[in-house]
Amino acid sequence: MTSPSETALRVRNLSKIYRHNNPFKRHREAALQPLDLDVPSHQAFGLIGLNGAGKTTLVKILLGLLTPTTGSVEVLGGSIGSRVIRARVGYLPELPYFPRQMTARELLAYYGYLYGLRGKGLTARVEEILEIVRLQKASGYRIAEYSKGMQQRVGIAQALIGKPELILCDEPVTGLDPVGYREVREIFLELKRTGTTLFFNTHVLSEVEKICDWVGVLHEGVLRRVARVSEVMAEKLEMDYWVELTGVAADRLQGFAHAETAARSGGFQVSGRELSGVLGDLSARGITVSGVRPLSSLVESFFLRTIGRESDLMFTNRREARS
Amino acid sequence: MSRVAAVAWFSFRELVRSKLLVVWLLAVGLLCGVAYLLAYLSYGEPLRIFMDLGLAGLEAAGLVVLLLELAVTYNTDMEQKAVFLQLTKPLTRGEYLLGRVVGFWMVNCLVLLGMTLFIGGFIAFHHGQYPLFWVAAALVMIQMFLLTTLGLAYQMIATSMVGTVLFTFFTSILGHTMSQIRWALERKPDPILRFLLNGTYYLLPNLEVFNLKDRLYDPTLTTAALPWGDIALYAFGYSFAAFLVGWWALEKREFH
Amino acid sequence: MALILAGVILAVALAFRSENRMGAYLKPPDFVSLGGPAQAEVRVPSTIRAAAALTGFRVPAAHLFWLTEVQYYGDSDNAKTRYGLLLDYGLLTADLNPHFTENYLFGAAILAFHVHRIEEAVRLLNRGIGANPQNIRLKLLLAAIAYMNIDDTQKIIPILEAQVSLRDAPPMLVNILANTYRKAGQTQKAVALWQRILRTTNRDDDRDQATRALEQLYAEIKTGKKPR
Repeated sequence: MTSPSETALRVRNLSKIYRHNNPFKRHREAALQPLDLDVPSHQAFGLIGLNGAGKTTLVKILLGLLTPTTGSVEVLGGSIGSRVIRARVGYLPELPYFPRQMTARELLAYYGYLYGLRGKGLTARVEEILEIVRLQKASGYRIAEYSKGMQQRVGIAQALIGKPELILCDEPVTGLDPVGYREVREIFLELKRTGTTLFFNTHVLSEVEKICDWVGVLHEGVLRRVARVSEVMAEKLEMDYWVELTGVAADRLQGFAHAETAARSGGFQVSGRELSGVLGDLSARGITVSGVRPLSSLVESFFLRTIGRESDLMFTNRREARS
Repeated sequence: MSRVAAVAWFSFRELVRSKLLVVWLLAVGLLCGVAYLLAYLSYGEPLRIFMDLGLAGLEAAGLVVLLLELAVTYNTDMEQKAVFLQLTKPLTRGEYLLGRVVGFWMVNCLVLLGMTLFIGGFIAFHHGQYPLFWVAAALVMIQMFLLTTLGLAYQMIATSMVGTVLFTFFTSILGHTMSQIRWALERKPDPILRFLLNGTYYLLPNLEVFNLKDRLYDPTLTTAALPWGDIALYAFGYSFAAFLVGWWALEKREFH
Repeated sequence: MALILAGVILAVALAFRSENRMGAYLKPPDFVSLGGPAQAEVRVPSTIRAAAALTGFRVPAAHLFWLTEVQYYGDSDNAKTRYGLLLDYGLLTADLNPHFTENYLFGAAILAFHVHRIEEAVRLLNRGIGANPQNIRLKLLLAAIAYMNIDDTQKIIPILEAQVSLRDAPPMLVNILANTYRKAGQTQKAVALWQRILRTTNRDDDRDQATRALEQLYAEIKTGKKPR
C-alpha cells in the first residue's frame, strides 16, 4: 500500500450508476462497477478502453463534475471539492471549447488569474506556457482562426497554467495529426520529467506505450487490469510475429510446419513462444529470413487479451499479414 | 471577490464579442428610430410620447438581450461543455454563478445605458429634463438584474436552452400581472384556480415594483414619493433568493 | 445546504415584506378596464389591449391607440361618418392611460367644435376631469364647450384665452380660439394666432390648416363677406 504522499489518486470502491427516470420504464445503467485504483505520484497513467467503457465517467468523478454512487476519491491527499486541491490539478477535456472571439493570451490570462496568479507573475507564466505549447506567434489571434491542433494546444496550455502537480486528460490526442501527436507526446514527456503526475484516457494505444509508466484497462465499467507498461513490454511471448521469407524454393521447406503458408504468402505467422524455435529450424535448413515484425503493438495485444477479444487480435494479425 | 470579478469580466467580453449582440444593437437603433417616428406621427407632446415609447423599447431591449445571453451561453456552457474548464478551476460554483450574473448584467446595462443616454439626451436637448425618465430607466436596469439572476438560476436546473429562454420570457410577462392576480385572489376564486394563482403570485417576481413607465403620467408621483427603500429591498431579497436557489442547483448538478 | 435554505427563506420573507409595504404604489389605476365600448370597430382588438395592459406596457399601448385615434381623424374618408368612432377611440385610450390629457383635449375639442357632438365631448371631458381633478385645462375646455352650446362667443373667448395662455397649448385649441375671434369679428387677433401657429408648429396638418384659414380670412376681407 502506498502512502498518501506517494499516491496522486486513490479510489476505493468507486461506482457510478445512472438512473434514468423514464415514466414508462425506470432503468439503471451501471457506468462504473465498484473499483479500486491507486495512481502513484510523479508517474504517467494511461487508461484504455472501448467507447462507452466508462473512462470519461471516471475522469469526471475524479474532477468532481459527477458524484459517485458509492465509494471515495482522494486527489492529492484531499477532496477535489476543495479549492486548494483544485489549484493543484489541471484538466484537459476531450475537444475543449473556448469562446471563439477571445485570443489564446486572454484565455490563459483569465485561467491563470483563477489559479491565483497576478500581475507580472501572471504575464510571465502566460508567456512561458505559450512558449511550451508553441503558440507565441498565434497568441494574439482569435480562437476562431485556430486549427484543431492549435486549439488542442490551447487546451493543454490552460491545463498547465497553474503549474499543477496532477493533470487529468480526456483523450488528449483526439483529432490531431501525427505531428500533433508528437508535439503532445513531447510535452507530456517533459511534464513527466519535471515530476508532474499524468492521468489520461485514450484510444491511441501507441501513445500509452511511449508515455506511460502504468496502463489500466477499463471494460464495460470494470477495471480489468492495471499493470506497469514495462511488465506489458516484457510479455513479448504473448505477441504474434510475421516471419518474411522471399525467394525460397518449396523443396527446402519440405517438412517445415508452416511450409504451405510460406509458399503461398511469402511468409507465415508464429507466436512469440514459438519464434526462437522456428528461427532455429529455418537456420538449420539454410534459409535466410527476410524480416521479422510484430503483428500488433504490445499494448494492443495486452488490451485485447485483457478484455477477452483475442479473436480480434487474430483477425488483426491476419489482415496485417495479407497487407 | 476578485475571482467573481474575473468571471464577470470574462463573461462580459465573451458576450460583447458575440455577433448576436451586435445584430441586436442594430435592432435597438431601429427601435429608437421607430419610437421617434411614431411620436412625430402622433399629435401633441411628441417628445413625451417618444420618451414613453423609448422606455417601453428599453425594457423590451433589455429582455431580448438577456434571452440572447441565456441562449448563447447555454449552448456554449452546457452543450459544448465550456463550463467544465471553469468549474474544474479553483473557483467555487457560487463564485462562478455570481460572476456570470454580474457579467450578463453588465452587458445588459451597456445596451440599456446607451439607449437611455440617447433618449434622455435627445429629450433634454429639445425639451428639458424629465427627472422621472432617468429614474424609470434605472428601475428597468434593476429589474433586468433580478431577471438575470432568475434566468441564470433556472439555467442551472434546465435541461434545454429553449426551456431556459421560455421560462425567462414568461416570467417577465407574468411578473407584470401580479396586481391583477392579487385582485383575482381577493375575489375568492375556486380552490384549484386559487392554488394556481397563489403559486404564481408567491413564486414569480412582481415586476410592477420596477414599472415606473406606466406611472409617469400620474401627477401625484414624484421622485421623493417613490418607496425607494422598499424597491431596493425587494430587488435585493428576490435576487438573493434566486441566486441561492441557482447556487444550490449548480452544486447538485451532474455534468454528463 | 441548510444555510442556503435558511438564506432563501430570509430573502423571500424580506422581499414579501417590502412588497406588502408598497401597496399604494403598486395599486393599478382605477380606470383600467379590459372591456371597452361594445360598438367600437377599432383596429386593435381587446385581446391585444388586455395583453398590453397586463404585461406592463399600458402607457405605450395607450400611445399606440392615441396614434390610431389621430390617424383616424386624419383620414378624410372618416369625415363621411363625421368621425363616428372618435369617442370610442378616446375612451379606449383613456382606459389605458387616464392621465394622458392630450387625449381628452383633442377628442373633446373635435367633438365639440368640429362635428358638434356636444354630449360626447362632455362625456369624454368628464372622464378626464374625474381622473385628473387638478388639471385646469380640461375644466376650461368644458366651460368653453358649455358656452359654445349657447353660442355665447363673448363668454367663450376668455376661457379659450386662458387655455391658450397656458404653456404648450396645443395648436388645435389655438386654432379654435382664432376661429372664435374670427366669428366675433376680432380679425387682427385671429390673424395673430394663425401666424403664431405657423411660427411655432412643425406639423404640416396644423400649418396647412392655419394657412387655409388665413387665405379664407383674407378672401372674406377682400370681398367684404361676414365670417360664419
